[in-house]
Amino acid sequence: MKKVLVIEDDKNLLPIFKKQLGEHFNVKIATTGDEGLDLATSFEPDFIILDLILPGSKSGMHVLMELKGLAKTSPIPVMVLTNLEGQTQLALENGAVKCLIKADTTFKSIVETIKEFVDTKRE
Amino acid sequence: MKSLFLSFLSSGFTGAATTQFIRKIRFVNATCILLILFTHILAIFHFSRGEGYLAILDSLIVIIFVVIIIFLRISKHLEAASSLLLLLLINISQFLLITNTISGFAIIWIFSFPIVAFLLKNEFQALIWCAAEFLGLFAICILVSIGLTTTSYALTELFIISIGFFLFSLLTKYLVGTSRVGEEVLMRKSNELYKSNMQLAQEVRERKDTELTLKQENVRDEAIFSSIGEGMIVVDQDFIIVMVNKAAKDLLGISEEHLKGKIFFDKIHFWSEDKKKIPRGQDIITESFHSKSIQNTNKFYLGKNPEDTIPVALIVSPILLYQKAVGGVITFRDISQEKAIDRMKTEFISLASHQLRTPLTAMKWFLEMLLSGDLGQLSDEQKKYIQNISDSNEKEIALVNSLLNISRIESGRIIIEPVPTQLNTLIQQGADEQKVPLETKKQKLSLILDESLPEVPLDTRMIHEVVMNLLTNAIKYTPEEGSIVVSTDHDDKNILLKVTDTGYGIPEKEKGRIFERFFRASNITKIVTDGSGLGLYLVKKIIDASDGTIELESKEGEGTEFTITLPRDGMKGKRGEAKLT
Repeated sequence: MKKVLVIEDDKNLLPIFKKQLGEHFNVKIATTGDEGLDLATSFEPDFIILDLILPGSKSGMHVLMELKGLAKTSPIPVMVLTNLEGQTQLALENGAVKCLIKADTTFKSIVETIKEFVDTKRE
Repeated sequence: MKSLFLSFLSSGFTGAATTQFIRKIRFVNATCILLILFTHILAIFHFSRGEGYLAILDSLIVIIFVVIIIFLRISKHLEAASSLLLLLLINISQFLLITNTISGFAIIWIFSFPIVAFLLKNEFQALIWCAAEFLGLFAICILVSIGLTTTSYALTELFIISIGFFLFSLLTKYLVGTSRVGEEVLMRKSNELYKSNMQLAQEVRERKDTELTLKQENVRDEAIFSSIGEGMIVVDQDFIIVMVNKAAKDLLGISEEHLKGKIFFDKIHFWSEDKKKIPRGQDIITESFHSKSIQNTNKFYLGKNPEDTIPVALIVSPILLYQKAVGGVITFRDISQEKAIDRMKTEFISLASHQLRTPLTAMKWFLEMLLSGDLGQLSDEQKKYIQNISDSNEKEIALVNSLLNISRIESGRIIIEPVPTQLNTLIQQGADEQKVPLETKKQKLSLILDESLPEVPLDTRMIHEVVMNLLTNAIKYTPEEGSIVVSTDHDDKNILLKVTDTGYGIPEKEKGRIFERFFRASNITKIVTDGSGLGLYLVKKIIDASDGTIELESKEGEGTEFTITLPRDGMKGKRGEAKLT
């Protein structure tokens, strides 16, 4: 089963990620940037979902730049999933494969997007 | 000789009446003084000859002359003084004729009499005085002829003198009469001269008054100009700074001597938000001069160098003379505070929308889970209500998106990504998306699409938003079984989109406000309660950002037609922070 790391702090959303993604992937959740970076190296996910607003010293954009800066994590496709769209363009420039606005996206389409990238990777 | 005499005669009459009077007084004075001197000499002569009684008489005459002068000085009564003088002259002349003091002397007295008379009196009076003198002379002739008195002159001589006097009087009258014509001309001329002098004086006074008024107005205008709170610079057609007010100097931090008389662009530069110098020719001053129209913008920064700039609201008005821009008035004000507030507003909207979206997202996804049956099958009723919640949630998300879109467009942070687009395709897609509501309201949608419509670079998200807004509005504000027509067309310069409906229409007096933010026409707020008043505002903003135009024709109760033109060159790409959602 492919591994997906979700870096997201909104506790209300976490059950959905666990349940809905759990049916298709091996899911691990990180609620801070540092935790996310640790899991990105230890858990070795095939796909990362990243929120831009995160508690703690590292914002989502910092995390993205660090992920792309490390040789081990840089090939992992990162999808930015946020409600803060002012930075979506910047996120794409910093290496995110996709940027989706949570409120405008159905969960079904999130699953499909992940599958698209994970499958592509396998090919 | 005659002219000399004339000029002598007329000299007493030239000028205005007052001048004439003064001259006559002077003449009486001068005559009296001359006579005093002469009589004095005569008195000495008589005294030396032992003719004491004559010497006393001479002295009396001197006294009379002095009295005349004093009388004239005190009373200024010319008539009386001159009459007294003439009376005295008559007596002296006749006295001299009889007494024969100095041979031939009496003749001088007699023949000078008409001259004096005509100089002092008017013509009629002078003639009377001359007649009196003539009668005196005639009386002497009679006295001599009857032997009552003797003179050194023979009777014939006396007659000749009398007749000579008579003729000389007539000659004087004639000469004076002639001189009167000249005098009248001179008087008239003099009056004219006097009038034009007065007029000139009046004009000089008026000019001085005007100059003073102008000076005062100038001072006032300068005071007003320098007190204007906004920076103001006036340039001529060569962009040379002619006037600068205080606010402009303060805002730019440049003294007047460094600005006045200098070329505007040498001293002040326009900068973009990212501190790039705006090349000359792309600034709004040149644009205003070329277009001969008032230009305004809030997007420039003004300053001498990039480190020292201020964001300004600029207005450039060309000074037009005979349809030619001969200069311009540049008005600007510091909008740093507005910019800061705008930034804060944008940050607030961005944050607020994020905060609003977060719970909406949770609801959206959980509702999605519930509706998909992942959490167990729902009854039909449950499903219906959950669907209602989901629809409301979607509306809320759409509203937040509208607010965000407007905020982005207003702040210029929107990304515009034009790609070659077939507008007909966008319309077709929109029509497909609206099939359900069209069927629900049993409305007929006709698409009359221009098959040769060229592909044009457009930001598909933005134009899709425009098409959808116009289409959903048409559906929403047209009663059931109404019809809607969407058509396209093109010409050399533009592509055209028309959306026509048979809906409720827009009240005449509200047409001007229809593109305002949050505005909803009064007639439809009662019929269709659901609506944010943001749709057409957003449409207008998008069309403005695309260099297009939007116009509407509407009649309340009959329908509305929106016509949009977009340039065939398409939209211009723009970097920003976010795309339209």
